[in-house]
Amino acid sequence: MSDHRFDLTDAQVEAVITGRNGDAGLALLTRTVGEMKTLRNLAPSQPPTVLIAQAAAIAREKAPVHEPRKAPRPRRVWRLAPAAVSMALAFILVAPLAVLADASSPNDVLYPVDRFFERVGIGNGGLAERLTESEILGERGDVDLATQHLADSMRGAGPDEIEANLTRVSGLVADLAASGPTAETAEILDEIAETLPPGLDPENQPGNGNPNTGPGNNSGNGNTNPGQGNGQSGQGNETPGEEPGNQNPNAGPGNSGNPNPDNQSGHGNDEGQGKGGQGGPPEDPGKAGPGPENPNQGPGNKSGSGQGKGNGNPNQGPGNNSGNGNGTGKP
Amino acid sequence: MVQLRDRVGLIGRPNRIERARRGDESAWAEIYHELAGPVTGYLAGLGVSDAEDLAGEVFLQVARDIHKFEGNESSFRSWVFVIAHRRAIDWRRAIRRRPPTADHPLPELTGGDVEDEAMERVETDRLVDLLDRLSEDQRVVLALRVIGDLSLEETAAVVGKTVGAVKALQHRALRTIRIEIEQGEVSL
Repeated sequence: MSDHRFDLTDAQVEAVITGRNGDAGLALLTRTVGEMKTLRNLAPSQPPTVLIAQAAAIAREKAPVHEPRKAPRPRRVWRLAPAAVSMALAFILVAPLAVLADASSPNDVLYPVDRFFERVGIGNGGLAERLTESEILGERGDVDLATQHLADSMRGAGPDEIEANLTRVSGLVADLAASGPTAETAEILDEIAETLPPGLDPENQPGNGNPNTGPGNNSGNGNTNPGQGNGQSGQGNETPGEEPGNQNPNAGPGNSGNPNPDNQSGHGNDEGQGKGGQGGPPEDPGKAGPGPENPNQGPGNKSGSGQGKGNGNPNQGPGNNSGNGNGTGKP
Repeated sequence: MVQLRDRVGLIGRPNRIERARRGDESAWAEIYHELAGPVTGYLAGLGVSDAEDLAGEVFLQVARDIHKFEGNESSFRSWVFVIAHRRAIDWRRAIRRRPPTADHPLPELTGGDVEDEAMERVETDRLVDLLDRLSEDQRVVLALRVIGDLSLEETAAVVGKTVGAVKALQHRALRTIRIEIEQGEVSL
């Protein structure tokens, strides 16, 4: 059985513990509990300096050190390394392909690859490259495709680009025209030729090897219609380049005088390239009119005045000299 | 009381804990001066024979763990007693494994003359003997409240019990002591 005489209320307990009890009945208990506080005095009155220094040292050692921020490691370099390796691999794989594709022409397997690279800015050779491709196609005998490719390239090229490649275009047109194109292809070539400046008209280009369109003949004729009467004069050139025209006693109608009024403004004549037969008046075609007798009067001799002199006399005069143009033509 | 002590601590020793964390010896001297007595007394009240040495170990443990402590001055005091309480438990476990000794010596008293020291020793023995009559939990709670000067809440936090449980324990502890002293079983 418990003895309730010794029970304490909460307030009494707190009063005893804090030493503020005023209850006489609890005085002995309060004093005894108060004496327990004297146990605090067991600690040394003088702080042990060694222990304190040791505690401070431990705290210093354990304290988190605020280290200065380390210099950033070259992590970024390593982070970029895979990308760099990938790019290097891509370059190693793509570069040879681009080089191979660059040399391809429209019929080749790699040609789409070449155009793809050009679209993304790799190896874009522009019109010059297109012309090379057309030349390759022409050399392979694929005149139609070469012509079509040339036409497409011309359409896709800018004026400056065309201007820079006029000579090549002109030469290529002439070559393709000489390669026996189909009628449709010849028409395309004509269209291209018409876009060229007068001085670069492929029909007036020297050395195209076409006896019918030989520059010597054409220029001699001052005829913009190649092959009209030129064949006769060309054929007469037994030794091209040597006394051309002089041995051609048969000055064809076209040679001896151009009935074509266009001839008055014919390119050949305008440029002074007219020669034999030009001395004759337009009204007298087929007649080897004596140049001296009618110098500088024929419309066809508009600017070929001096040349007309020799036309009447194939063996003499500067007209013969101007006949050298025939010599550049292939027989 | 706790609030007043807390304010005094904050006003009188600003940043003491922070200075102690940095290894400031003066801060550690202040901590020792304030807590060494209560901790040593608490350990002695629990019957720790070499309470002063164990209090020194508690002090060094506080130094090792102070960078983990998060709180104010008031919670720092109860945190120190948590360490002391655990050390006392460890000591008890260790003492049980050892063969019993004839007597457990109390800390040597310092200073004063021999007579005074003898008187203090007698008084200490008497108090420890009185506390020895309590249950383990009653002894711990009463020692924390009286010697450690902890509040009900702080005591509850140290022993890991509710405030109500602590109240009940201190009621029984005081009743036991009252019976002991009023029935003359303990010589006064």
